[in-house]
Amino acid sequence: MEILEGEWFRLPYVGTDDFKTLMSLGLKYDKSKGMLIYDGTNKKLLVTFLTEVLKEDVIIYKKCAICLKEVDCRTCEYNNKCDYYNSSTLCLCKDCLKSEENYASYIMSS
Amino acid sequence: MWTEKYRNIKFNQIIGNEEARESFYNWLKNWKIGDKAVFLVGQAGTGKNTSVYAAARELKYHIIELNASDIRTRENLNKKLGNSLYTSDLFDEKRMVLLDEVDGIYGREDYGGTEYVNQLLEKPPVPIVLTANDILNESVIKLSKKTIVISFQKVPLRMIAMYLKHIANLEKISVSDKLLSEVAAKSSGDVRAAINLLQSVIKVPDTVEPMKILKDAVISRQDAALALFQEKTFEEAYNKFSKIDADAREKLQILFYSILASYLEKGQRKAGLKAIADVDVFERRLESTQEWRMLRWYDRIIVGRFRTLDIGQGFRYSEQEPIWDLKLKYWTELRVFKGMRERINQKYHISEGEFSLYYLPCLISLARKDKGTVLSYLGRMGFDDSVISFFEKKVKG
Repeated sequence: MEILEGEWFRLPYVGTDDFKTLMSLGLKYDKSKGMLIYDGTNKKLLVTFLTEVLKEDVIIYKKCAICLKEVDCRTCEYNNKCDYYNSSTLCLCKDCLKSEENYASYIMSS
Repeated sequence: MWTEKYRNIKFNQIIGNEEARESFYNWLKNWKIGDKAVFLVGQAGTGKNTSVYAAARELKYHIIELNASDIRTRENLNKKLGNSLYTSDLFDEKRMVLLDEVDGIYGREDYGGTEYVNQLLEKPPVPIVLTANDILNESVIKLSKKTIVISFQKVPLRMIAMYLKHIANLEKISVSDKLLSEVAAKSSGDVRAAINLLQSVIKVPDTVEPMKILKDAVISRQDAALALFQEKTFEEAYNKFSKIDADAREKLQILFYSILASYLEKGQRKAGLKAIADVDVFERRLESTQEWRMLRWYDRIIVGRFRTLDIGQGFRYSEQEPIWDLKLKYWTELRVFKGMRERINQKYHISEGEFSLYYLPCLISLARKDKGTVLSYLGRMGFDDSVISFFEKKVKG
C-alpha cells in the first residue's frame, strides 16, 4: 500500500481494536474523507502496524512543498542520513531541489 | 552569528513543519481569554521559537519570554509577570507569554514555579506558549494535559539544503552544491545547527579546505553510528565513531535500537544482536572489575566487532526504543487470543479465567497429540485462518 503524507487515504475495514490503535498512533480520521497522516503521527509505528494488519508492504511518500509531486525517500540522496519517519510532512522533489529559485517558490507556495 | 541575523524572518519564510506552524498561527490569531495554552514540542532547531516570534510580530503581540531558570521560583515569576498580565499598558499593546524549555523546570530546584505555571494555565489571561525539546520528559507529559500540544518534527534535509543555498546567496558567497549537501547531511534536521556549521565552514582561512573542516567538525551520533558500516577502513570508522558524544552505555544502547530498527534479514539481525551482547559482556566485566583503563579499547572493540557484520545498506540509525516492533508479535497474538476467547465464551458460557486457565492449554495439549482434529474443530467453530495459523505456531512451539 502506498500512502501520500498530507493526503487523505482509505483503508479496508480493520476492526474496532485496530482502528483504535491507528487513532492512538496519531492519524486523523474523517468519515467522509478517510485517514490522514500529519505532523503528530507516529509514522514509524504506523508503517509497522499497517504492514502487520494489511499483510503487505506499506510505503509512505512525502509531498513536494513546491510542486506537490510525490517524493520517494528510498531514492533520496539523504536516504541514510535523513530521519524521514520523524521529519515534517513536506519535502522537496529532485527537480525543485535543483531549481535556482526554489526558496522563493517555497515561500510563494506556503 | 548567521543564526541571529536570520532569526527575525517572516512567518512564511520559515522552513519545514508547515502544518504545525499553521496550527500555531491560527491558534494565536483566533485566541480569546480563557483559551488553552499551546505547547510546542520538538527537538532544537525545528523552528519553534522562530515561529513564535514571527507570528507575534505579524499579529502585533509583545512577547514576555521566560526561560527555565526564571520559571523555577514563584518569586521570579511574580517579578517578571506580576499583575502585568491582567492589566493593559499605555499603548494597549497585546501581550503573550513564552515559557521556553519547560522540560527543565521540574525537579529538586523547583521552588513553587511549577505550581505558579499550573495556576496560570487554568485560565490564561493572555496567550501562553510553552516550548520543550523532549516529548518524553515528565514535565512535558504533565503539562500536555492542560495545553494544546503541537509537535514540531525534524526538517527534511533537502529543505535544509535549499535554505542553506538561500543564505549563501544572501551572503553573496559561492558555495558548491556538494558542500551544502554535506552540511545539510550533518545537521540531523536541525536548521540552527546547519546554519552554524555552514558559517564555521565558510569562515575558515583560505589556506584550509572547507571540506576538511567539515570532516573534523563534531560528529552527530547518527554519523558516528553510520560510520561503522560506511567508512572504507577500520581507522576511518574508528576516527568517526570515537568522536561520538555519548558514554559507553549510551553507545551500546544506540547500536541496539538501531539494529532493531534496521531493515535486516533474520540472520543479520541475529549477528548484530550477538555483537552487541559481546560488547555488553566486555563492558559489564569492566564495571565489575573496575578496570577502567581497559575502557580505551571499548570503541575499537565496537568498531572491530561491527565491521565484521554483513549489514551494509540495511542499517538504519535510531535512538528510539522500538517498543512496538518488539511487542507487536505479542500484541497480534493477544488480538487473536481475544477473538477466540470471546467466541468460546459465547458458545460454552465460561468465564475468561476458565478459558485462559483450562480451555486454551487443553486445546494446545490436544493439538500436539492430534493436530488435525483440533484444527478441524476450530474450523467448525468458524475461526478464520489467523486463529488457525496462530494455533499451528503454538503447537509447533
